[in-house]
Amino acid sequence: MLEDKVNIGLTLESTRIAEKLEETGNFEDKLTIAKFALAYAIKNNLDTNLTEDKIGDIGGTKWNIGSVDTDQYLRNVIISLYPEVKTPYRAIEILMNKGLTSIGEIIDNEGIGKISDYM
Amino acid sequence: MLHFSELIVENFGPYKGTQEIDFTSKNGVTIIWGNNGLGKTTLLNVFRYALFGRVQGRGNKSHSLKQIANWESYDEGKYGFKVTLKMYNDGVRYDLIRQFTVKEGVSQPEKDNDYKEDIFLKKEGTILSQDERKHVLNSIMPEQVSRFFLFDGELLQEYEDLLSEESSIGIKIKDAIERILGVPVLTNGLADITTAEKEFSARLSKVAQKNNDTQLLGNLLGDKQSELKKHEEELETLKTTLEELNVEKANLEEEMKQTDKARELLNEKRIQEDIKSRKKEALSSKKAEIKMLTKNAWQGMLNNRIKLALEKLEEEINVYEEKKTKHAVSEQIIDQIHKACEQGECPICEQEISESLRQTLKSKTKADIGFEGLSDEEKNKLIQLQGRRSQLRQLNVDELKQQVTSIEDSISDITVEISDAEQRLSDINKSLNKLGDTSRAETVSGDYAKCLEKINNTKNGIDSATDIITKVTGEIKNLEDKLKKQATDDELIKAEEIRDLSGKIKQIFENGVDLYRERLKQKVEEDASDIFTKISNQTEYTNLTINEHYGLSIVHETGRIVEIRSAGYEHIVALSLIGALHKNAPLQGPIIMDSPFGRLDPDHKRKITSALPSLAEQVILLVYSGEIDEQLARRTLGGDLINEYILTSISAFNTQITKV
Repeated sequence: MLEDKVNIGLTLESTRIAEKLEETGNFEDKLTIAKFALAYAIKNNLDTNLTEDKIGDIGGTKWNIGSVDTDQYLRNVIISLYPEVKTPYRAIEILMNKGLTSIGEIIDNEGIGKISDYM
Repeated sequence: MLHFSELIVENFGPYKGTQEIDFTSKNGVTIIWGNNGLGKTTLLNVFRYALFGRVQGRGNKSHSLKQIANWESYDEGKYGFKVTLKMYNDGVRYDLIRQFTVKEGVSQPEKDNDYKEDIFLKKEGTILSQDERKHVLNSIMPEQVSRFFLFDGELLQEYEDLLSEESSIGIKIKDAIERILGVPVLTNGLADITTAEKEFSARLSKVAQKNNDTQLLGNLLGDKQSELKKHEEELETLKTTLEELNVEKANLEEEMKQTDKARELLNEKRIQEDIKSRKKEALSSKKAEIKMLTKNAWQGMLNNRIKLALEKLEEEINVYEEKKTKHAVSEQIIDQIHKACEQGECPICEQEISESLRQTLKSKTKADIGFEGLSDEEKNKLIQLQGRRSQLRQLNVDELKQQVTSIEDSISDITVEISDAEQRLSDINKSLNKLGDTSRAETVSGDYAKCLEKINNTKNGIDSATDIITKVTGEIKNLEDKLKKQATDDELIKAEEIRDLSGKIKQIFENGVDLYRERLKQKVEEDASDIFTKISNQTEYTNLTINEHYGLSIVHETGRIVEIRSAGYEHIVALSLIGALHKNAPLQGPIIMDSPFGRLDPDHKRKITSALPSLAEQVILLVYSGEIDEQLARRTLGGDLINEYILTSISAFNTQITKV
């Protein structure tokens, strides 16, 4: 059985998209954007294979889970929505990157648009 | 009376080489036709240069003389220019020559200083000395009144300022009007007699001081006369300051007019910069707001999923809870049956239970009733499900999409507004760059406000100095009266008589000036009204009425004053005033008008054309073709049209004057 992660992060591609979103000035930082992307992924049913998904090398921005989820709210979300998931922070990392990849496809095709359109 | 007979112009403005206009010695109207840019206003400047040695651009701005030389001639190595104006004044022939030639030693002139100016005035062929020349020119055409002889149609609008007491242009025009009407002859006389009166008054105090009986009064009178002199000097200084300030005000007004566009643009720039700055602040605040929202917005995005998950959980929990409830109910019923069997009586209907029924019931309760309770595994599962449900319920937070949308819409609107302001600023900056140096435009309004404040302070100073002078003059009069009563010796009596006589003469002059002014005004009003009714189309306008400053207002047949009048009527009133001034001025001369018909309709143009010969003996009209109808002008003027010239363009810097 896989151990859960202590540090989570974004791939280079996800970091590129997060930077684009950060440039809009609508987000405090990349971590807020990553959480936004996670919610986007869940909302848009990109939440399959949360334990096995390979998301590629985490070559971009990284955080310690202590700073990502100080009150364990995120962890509670994952374990409440996905009781089968035993490694919630791994799932969180997968969802963040999946969400950013999907948002990135829209941005690349249609431009960045409004943040509310992703909500 | 002054009459221009010939003008010879050499390399002046667009007039290349030597060209001449023969006005002949006949009175009447000369029309010089010329389209825009061919040199009509330059021709007006040729007269101005010949008579006063200066040229005037648009907006009364003086030009550098070097710029006046013909460019083509300059390129051909012929530098400078020359103007000869031949004229008659009261039958005496004068030839006025003014030329701007290169100084010795200068091979290619670059600036005004590389030139020298020579002026000659020949009287019946004899060159006059410099002093004689100045005296003659100042007598036949003083520069201060030149606006009534040489005028640009565009500047007729200025005459409206005569209706305003505060206008410095109005004050300047009023001064010029009084000059052309000869008022200064009397006012100068009054000033002289006032000086004489003061001298006689001073002599009186000195005579009184010599006599023991009147010494005290003489001393007091002498002191008061010194005091009066001091205050009068102070008043004179203040009046001079006021005149200088009025000139400064007029110049600033002119500068304001010239920088009008730049000031308007700079003001608009300030407004747009302010809008931009306020919108940027608003944008920054909205961005901060949206950042706060997006920080937790992701939680609200999960609501649908949480809702779905909760629904699914509720279904699962319901299955277990239903099973649990059914089992509990069946247990309770069996328990009741057991109790009834033991007691032999039904607890509900209180009927006795027979033995056979008790046996039947016992056997039934022992059989499988089909409502089993939850297994341990199922119980654990239910607890887990209930735990998840409670956790999910806690995760359900408000959705922020609507708020984010609203802020994003605001941000989008503000961004467009900032972009609009930036575009406007860019346009303004481009326009400002085209205007060149606008530094003066930024300061002229402030200078104007300061000048107005100084004028106000000086006027207050004049008022208080005048009050003191009135008071001291009264005190002097009392002392003189007392002295009169005490006077016994002949010398004092004689000094008093002379003082009295000078006072009476002064009074006569004072009354004379007032009377002369009043009569002149009446005459100007009558003549202007006469001209006005001839050239005005509106028959309901019966006459003009004149104010203290020679400003003319139109009177309607009902007696009411027409407060608001059109630009066209402004011209008509101004032309009426100029015509009336020429009729009443001791100084008579030609009128040279540049484009006077600009804002007038064809009927007014025709009427004014017809009235031209009555404005002055000699009228020279500079008009563009179409400004008045050529055939109609010829028909209207008939025999009064004595000459016609046309300006033809040979090149951009070469205009030919040809007799029609």
